[in-house]
Amino acid sequence: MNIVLSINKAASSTVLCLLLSTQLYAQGPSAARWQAFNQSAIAEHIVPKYRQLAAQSSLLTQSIAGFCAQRSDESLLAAKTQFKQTQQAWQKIQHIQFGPVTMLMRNFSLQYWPDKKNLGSRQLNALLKDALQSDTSKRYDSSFFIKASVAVKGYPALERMLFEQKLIDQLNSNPSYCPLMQAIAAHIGENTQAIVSEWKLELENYREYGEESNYQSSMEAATEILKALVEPVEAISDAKIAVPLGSELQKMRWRKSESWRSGQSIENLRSNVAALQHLYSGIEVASARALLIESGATELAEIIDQQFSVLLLQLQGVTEPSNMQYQQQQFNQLLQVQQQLKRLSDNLLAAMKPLQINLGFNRRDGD
Amino acid sequence: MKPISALALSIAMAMTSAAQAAPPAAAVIKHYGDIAKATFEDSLKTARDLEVNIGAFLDKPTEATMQSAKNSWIAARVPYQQTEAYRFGNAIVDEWEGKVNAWPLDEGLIDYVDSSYGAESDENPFYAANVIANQSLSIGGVKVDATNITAALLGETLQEIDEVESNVATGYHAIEFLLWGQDLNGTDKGAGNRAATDYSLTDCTNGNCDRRRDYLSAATALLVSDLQEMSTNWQPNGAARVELAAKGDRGGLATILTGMGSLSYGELAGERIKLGLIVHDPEEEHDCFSDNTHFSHFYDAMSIKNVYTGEYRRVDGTLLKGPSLSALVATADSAVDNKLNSQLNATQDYMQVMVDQASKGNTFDVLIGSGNTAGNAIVQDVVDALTDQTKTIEAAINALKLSDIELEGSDSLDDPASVSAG
Repeated sequence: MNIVLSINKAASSTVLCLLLSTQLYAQGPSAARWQAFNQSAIAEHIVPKYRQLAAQSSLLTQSIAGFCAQRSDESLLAAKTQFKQTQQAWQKIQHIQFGPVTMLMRNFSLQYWPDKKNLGSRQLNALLKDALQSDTSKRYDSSFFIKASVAVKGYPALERMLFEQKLIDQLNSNPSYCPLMQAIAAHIGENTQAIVSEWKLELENYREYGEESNYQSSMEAATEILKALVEPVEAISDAKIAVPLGSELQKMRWRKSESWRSGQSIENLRSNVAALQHLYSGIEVASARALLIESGATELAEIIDQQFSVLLLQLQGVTEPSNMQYQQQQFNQLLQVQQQLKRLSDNLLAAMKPLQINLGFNRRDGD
Repeated sequence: MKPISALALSIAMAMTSAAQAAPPAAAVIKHYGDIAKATFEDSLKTARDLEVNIGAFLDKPTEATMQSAKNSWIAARVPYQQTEAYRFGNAIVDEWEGKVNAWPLDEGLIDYVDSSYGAESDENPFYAANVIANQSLSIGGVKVDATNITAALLGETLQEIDEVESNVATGYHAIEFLLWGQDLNGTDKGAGNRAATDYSLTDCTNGNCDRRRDYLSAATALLVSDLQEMSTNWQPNGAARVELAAKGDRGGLATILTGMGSLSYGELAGERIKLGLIVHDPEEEHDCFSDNTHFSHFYDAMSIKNVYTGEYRRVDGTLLKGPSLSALVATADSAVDNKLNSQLNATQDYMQVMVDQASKGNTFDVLIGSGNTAGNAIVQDVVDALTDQTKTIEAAINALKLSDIELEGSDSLDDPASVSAG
């Protein structure tokens, strides 16, 4: 069983006993409690965070338009700062992979990453080159975005363009550079706004359950939300830390990290962990933590909450690397974060038993 | 009275009870192992055929001998892709798989590439190292003596060099690149078009033909020996059988279903198909040099069906048939079994549409092209079919009450060091 391995030794025997007893007696939350969980997760977590994302994305469109209208160090700094804020708003809701964000593949359109084949660079360069060579000025309208690859539509594409080291050269040599940036920002704005509006309709899926509905039961609907809580923990550890860090300091390759161009790779981790903790225990009406306690797994519920807090503390002590390179001490700090994420992931998976939830396959299985 | 083993007893019960009786789990798992044995043996056999035809091509490099080498590569993919349902869930297969089927690859590591490929990548210092043209490499502090191109150089040094996954020096796709060359047609029709003279000692094109010949020979020999190893693992009492048996009946059944679900959803529907669809880029095509992707996906899906129905059509045409997981699920919940069987068939039908398109020149890279609405829809149907069947695979896990089984082996995260390496 995972939990025995994943918590400190002093507590392990108690938790083991506790788990055995909960397996004997617990029924798991009732349909009504799952429904309360769904409604509060949506009302207190999902919808507010999408609203923030849409608001920040709208500000981003404005600040990029401001920079393009009047280029200056100040307006560039403002656009870059706004980009970072918008990116963090995305990082706080990135874990939700169901509902309107999956419509028309918006989740991929907003962020295509990791980009193992360097497609963002190749496809953006091809677009810009194409714009230079054509006689008429390119129109980046909705029909353009319907056909375009996800690698040129989202935050990473915008980050590439805005944090381009030779930005001024690019702007001077290619009249389509700024229009493309503005169009991508506007497209992101429309997508995030559509997600907010569509969640109003999406709520219907949480009113009635059964054969004719999207979900068979409130528990099945809750399973989708719990997936968004549990699965990202391992994914973050793997893709956002282990891969760019490499097996040893000399093998570190920070260009594989998530937002190195804007220097936000570590800040992303803080936003991710804080958002996941909010989903776990920050919701007031019926959080996952509360349901876990109701199911008899009180100690496990508390340990998970503590692990989130420890992670946030650990991450506060980690800085972004300077010149893309860490010293040994910072490298070790991130290894510790990784180990802590692993423990947290194990315990979240273990928590599915008292909740009687089967998470099923996820898109990271395989590979 | 002489004690009867539980297995013998359950077999006896199965034989005497109604026609609908479930086969014993142990019999299903044994037959699952038997199909693995047959499929890996067929993979080995067809890889040896490939080796023979590559030998003939190198003896006399003409377009005709090259074509027959290519044909045998395509034939070799048929059984190999049908082994893929064994990969996830069986650690012994998953840990080995990268040697033979790693993808995607930065082919500039191996040989010359077109200028459109570019000279460098954020991700990979060896992006354009071109070992065929360079007897020694010195990149980012890593030095490689490549004077002699040997299996050891490819398998032990170049494969995943510098901990970059896309440095693929061995396996089917490296050989594919050496036979076809880069496909420079983008999302238009046409595959790679390497000239046979790239291997000529008298009319060498693109330089270093002697080293290219060495590379092709070494990579092919390595493929054969790697497949020999895995084929041995699945013989009775082989290492893979021992590993499987150690999991017990429930663990064994969970292994089969884990392999089915992981391949169906995360790997095939997601990584190999949907990713290509959303980026509209031929770089995201599984068999991007040969344009054989449709068949690779078709036989991957068939692999999932094989392990469920307990049937495998061998390359010699004989049908291997035995106690199936399907029959076991049917006795637990016949509705789930019916649904899963019909979904597995539907997936084959959607795959067939893709295969039919390919026969008209509309290969996978054409279908995923930007603005190819009809082509995109054909590929999306395949993704949807695979996603639907995954939900029913989950239902089958619940029907057999296996959802509490945790499997190791399909997950590289337990060992942080292995994550960065691949």
